[in-house]
Amino acid sequence: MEKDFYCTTCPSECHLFVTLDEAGHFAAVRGNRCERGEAFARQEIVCPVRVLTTTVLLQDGNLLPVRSREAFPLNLHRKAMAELASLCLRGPLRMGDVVLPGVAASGVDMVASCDS
Amino acid sequence: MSSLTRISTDVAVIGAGPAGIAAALKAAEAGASVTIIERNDQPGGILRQCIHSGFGLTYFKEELTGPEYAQRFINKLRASNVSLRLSSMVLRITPEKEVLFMSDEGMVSLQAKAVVLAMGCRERTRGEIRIPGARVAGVFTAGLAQRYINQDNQKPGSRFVILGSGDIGLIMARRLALEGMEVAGVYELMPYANGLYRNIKNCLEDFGIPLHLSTTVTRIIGKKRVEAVEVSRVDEKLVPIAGTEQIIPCDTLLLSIGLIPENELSRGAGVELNPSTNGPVVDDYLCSSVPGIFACGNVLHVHDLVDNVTAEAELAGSGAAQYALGLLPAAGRPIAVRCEGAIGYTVPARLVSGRKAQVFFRVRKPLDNHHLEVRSGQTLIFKTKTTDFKPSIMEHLNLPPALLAKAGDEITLSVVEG
Repeated sequence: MEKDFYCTTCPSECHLFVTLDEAGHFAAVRGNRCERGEAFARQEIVCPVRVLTTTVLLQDGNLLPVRSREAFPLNLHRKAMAELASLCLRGPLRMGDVVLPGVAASGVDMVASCDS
Repeated sequence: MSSLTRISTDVAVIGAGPAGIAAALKAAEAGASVTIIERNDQPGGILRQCIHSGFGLTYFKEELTGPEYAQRFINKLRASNVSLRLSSMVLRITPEKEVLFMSDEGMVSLQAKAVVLAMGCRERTRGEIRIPGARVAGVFTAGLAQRYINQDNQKPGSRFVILGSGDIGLIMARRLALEGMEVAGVYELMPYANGLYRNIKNCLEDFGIPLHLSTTVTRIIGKKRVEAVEVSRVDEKLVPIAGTEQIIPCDTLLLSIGLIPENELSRGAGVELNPSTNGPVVDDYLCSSVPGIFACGNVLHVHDLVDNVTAEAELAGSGAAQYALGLLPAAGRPIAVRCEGAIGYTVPARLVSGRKAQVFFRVRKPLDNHHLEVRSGQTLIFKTKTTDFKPSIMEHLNLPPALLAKAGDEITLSVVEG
């Protein structure tokens, strides 16, 4: 069986064609112009991960843009949004400060995207 | 009678978005005194509301969010001796490079030796494409809705239709879905999607939001607020096909239908604009038709990647500093850059520096298995290997001096099958 999708690692946007075995596991990939494409394809088959970006409320009423430090399972993003919606943070904060450690039990921290 | 404050600087930069900041830093590095004039009360430009990631992949080799990318440059700006004037609105720029702006302290006249235009662009509106129907509340450009949600903490609506598959519309589809709003679908006039594949995947497929190609909004329905839109399929001439109308209930219509460089100030300064880009015609120093007035970023031509904006702005900033300091080398033999066929435009339009040239261009429609040819008169002086071209990806061509030596007084770019 073959699945196809685009790699999102860099602006090249290689069109990846992934061959799966009978059990649905990764067998081979073609279309990638570098080895990062293979790593991307393997991860996408096993468990799609994405960076989450959103805003959280500050006590002064402003919004602070936040991001997950790295990609984490897409199927945890809804739960992550719910956890972040309940926050009301005290500033001042600097870019990179942790606003919620290990969001949605993913082990990945949410950090500030800019100075508040 | 109020008095006019008069100040002067070597390089005046209009706008403190990614283009303006990068240009200012490079100009300062080259030894010029630099003043940035920014209408907002904070620097960062459009990046402040672009909270998603995907920025800096080339420039920093990291995947940053818009605010992170901006913050890195803002930190450098604060550490430099560039003068940053916030909450200051430029009203007029003269060909003699006098910049008149309004600020908290009143009207200011800034006399500059060189100017860098970095005002960015605005969004195409409903009126410009004349969508028929009721004139009701709930019709926004996608970028405006992005500002409402990401900066003002306002919810623009509950159930959305998005017209246009450009990146802003796709990014907003995901943002709305993440914040618990309903997205009925994204509708695209052309038979192909306009945005990056990355965004089709991460913004639509991840959230099960349908993309309808060759379909457009033909009527807006409602009394005081949007209640529904009528969508219709279009034929190969982009004309709505009678009988294909469907009513989609919604309370908000977001328009992601194009960006237009913001060149009112440029026109006032006598800068010649290219009708294909709506941005200034520039040479390879990024200098416009008015000596000493340079342009970069979205005001020059609409970009897809902020990394390219930074590179372009650095070029404009160093050119402006050199001009201001009287160090710009005398122009060499000018070579006009033309384009034909499927290539919509090139930046720059003219090569004068004699240095290696980087020419940027876009195609008007997707072209698979084509290559680029550069001709001078009848002579083919360069061709690339076969690849695919998309209108949504800005391409570039490097022309070393050795190659340019073979050119006459003009070169023409074209994409050819095979």
